[in-house]
Amino acid sequence: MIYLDNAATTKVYDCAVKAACAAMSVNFYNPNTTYKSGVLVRECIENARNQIAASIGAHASEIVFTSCATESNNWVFSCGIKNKKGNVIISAGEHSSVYESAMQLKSRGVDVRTAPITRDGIVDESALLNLIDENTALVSLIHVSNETGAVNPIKRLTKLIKSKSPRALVHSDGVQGLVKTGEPISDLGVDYYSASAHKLGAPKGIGLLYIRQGLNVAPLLYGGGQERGLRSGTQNTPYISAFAAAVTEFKHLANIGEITRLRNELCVFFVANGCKIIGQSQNSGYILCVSIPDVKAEILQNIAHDNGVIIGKGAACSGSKRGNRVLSAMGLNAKEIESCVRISLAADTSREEAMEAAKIIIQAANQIRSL
Amino acid sequence: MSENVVLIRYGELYLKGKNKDYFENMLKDNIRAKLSDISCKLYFGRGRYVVKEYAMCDENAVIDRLKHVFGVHSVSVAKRCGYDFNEIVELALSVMPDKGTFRVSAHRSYKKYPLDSLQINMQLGEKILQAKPQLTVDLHAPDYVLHVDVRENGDVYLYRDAIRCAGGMPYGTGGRGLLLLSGGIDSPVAGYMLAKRGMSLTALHFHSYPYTSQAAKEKAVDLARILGEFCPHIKLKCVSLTEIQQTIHKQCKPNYMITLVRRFMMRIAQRVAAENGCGCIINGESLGQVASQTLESITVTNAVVDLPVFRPLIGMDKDEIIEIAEKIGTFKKSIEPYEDCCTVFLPDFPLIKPTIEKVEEQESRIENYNALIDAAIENIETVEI
Repeated sequence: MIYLDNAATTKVYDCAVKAACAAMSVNFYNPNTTYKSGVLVRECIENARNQIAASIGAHASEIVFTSCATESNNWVFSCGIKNKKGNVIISAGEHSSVYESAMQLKSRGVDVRTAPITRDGIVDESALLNLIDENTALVSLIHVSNETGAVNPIKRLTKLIKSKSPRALVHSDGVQGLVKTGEPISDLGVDYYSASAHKLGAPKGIGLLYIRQGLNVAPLLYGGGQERGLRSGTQNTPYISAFAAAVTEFKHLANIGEITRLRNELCVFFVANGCKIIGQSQNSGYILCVSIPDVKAEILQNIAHDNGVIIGKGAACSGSKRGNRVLSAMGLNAKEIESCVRISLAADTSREEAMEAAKIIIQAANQIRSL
Repeated sequence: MSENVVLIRYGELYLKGKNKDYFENMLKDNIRAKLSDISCKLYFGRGRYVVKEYAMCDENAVIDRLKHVFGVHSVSVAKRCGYDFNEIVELALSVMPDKGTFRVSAHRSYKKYPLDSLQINMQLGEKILQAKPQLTVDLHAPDYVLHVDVRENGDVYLYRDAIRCAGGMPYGTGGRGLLLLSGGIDSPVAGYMLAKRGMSLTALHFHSYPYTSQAAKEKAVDLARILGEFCPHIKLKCVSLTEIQQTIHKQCKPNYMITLVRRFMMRIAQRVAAENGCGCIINGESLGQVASQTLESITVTNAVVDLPVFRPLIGMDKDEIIEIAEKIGTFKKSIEPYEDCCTVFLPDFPLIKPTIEKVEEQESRIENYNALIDAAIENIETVEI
């Protein structure tokens, strides 16, 4: 089976499994105890935090472990807004965990504004800046679109936002961007950055929220005061260890130049076979959204699966909902949306398997059209 | 020392004559099966069943389970004590609130009890008034009714409220039917309604993988599982229509697709019904809801089967159907947006008034008609729920 739905989740690296197993069977002690074995586990967590911080370009004190990016995003929207009377801006290309969090605020009377996205899937810069004013409390922009792989220029946008409204806080949902874009978080200039480890070869159930140094945020969860009082609950030591191991392994395997070349080669192949690439410029090398004319993505997905290739059709998190909010916002019509598949690569996806999968996808499309 | 018990009342069974025992025995079996994994004792008296000796933490589970047993009209949580009137008074005071209006409603199946029903009402009412001066009696529209049930086995039950349950007839007393279970809102409700009248169900789901997703099939399994709360041991049979739909698509006029597919479905259903001891077919059709549910379409699809086809929703509006779907817990699952097989190769303008002659002419274009049915039935997948 060739697995090309890595934007949904990734296979857990062996090194991450080993790290998790060791933390479950050997270093299983509660990290919040005072006896030596517990203290050693606490040290393991701090080592993991340091390792992750170094890999993603942040300071260890800026990282708080959470259960996933959905938790991190919800935390920012629930507790991370300083100016409670200010407006909140999101882009139309956000993941549902940001979009729904914003809608919750809206239902409570907060002025929530949505910046449109372009046909390429990135936020419309001038429209975004027009929405910002001195009362803007939070701007949340996805770093890399989980639907199309479109990369928002977060560093530049953050500068522009802050120059127009210095008090505005900037959050970026970096689930598909962490490590993969190669940009250190500290360079982006954002105040908050959310990430999930299972997109990088770690297990599901662990994520982080980057909180810029000097920024105080109220906790979402209260209790034993773990994570410097910011996120109570006994730390998930096995998955934190796995997260650190996976990030290191991912960085070791990843080659942005190669993955971009492979994506481009896939684009050329699909275009040559009558398909259309959705969001053609400024894209992550890891995600490719392809519209395959006269084919329903769901049927194609099933046939490809039966022929040994797993691909996505829209984000798995929104896969059970009708339509596609993000692709609609890009101006695609219902028929185009219905025909969109998402091909997403892992750091170790080989050229051979990607191209073989592409051929199988086209064969499956032809099979459907012949009926 | 009082104890909490759950009183069970059955509904229509009391109308039964000589075969009442058959229905009662089935109801008792169903209640026993439903409570089998909860530690408790069941007492089956005349006209009253009682659940006793359960742990307090299981009380809500007992009530919830009984709500899913067809034939049970209502249940009440009661306090149990003996015949001693002082004990009854003490218990009554613990059950009654301090303020408001009330009346006592006694019922004696033990006719030798020294007080008759009226005397119990009056004497107990008087004691309550003395102990709780802020309560007043209202015989017509009281805030609270204190029921006192004096049974022949030495027990007296005191309770206030009755919790309405599913009603209907005991599951298994009304024959067996084959439910055509799509993933939509209507068919689970149709199944529920027949099961409520005592009919055992076997479910049949049609899918068109890869044109419909694996998730759509799982949805049918989940719906059968929800129905299984009311219908013990329900089985789900899944049939692939893919080859049939591809053949129709290639060989027949596009606007006949739905009509032809539904005639295939009915023929397959009739054979599956025969193989599984089902005496009827049940579907969720509601007149005029979609093109395949006009009188003409139903006539054409019905014409290929001899078995009775029950359509309990035929005269219901969508919102009435949704109300039941919400009550039985299938609605949320039903609205999950997966394609079902009826939308595959969907023509822009399906026939709304087909005629048997024209449909048969289209069918005659399919040379391997019976072979397609044989193949579909041969590949049936059975899911134990």
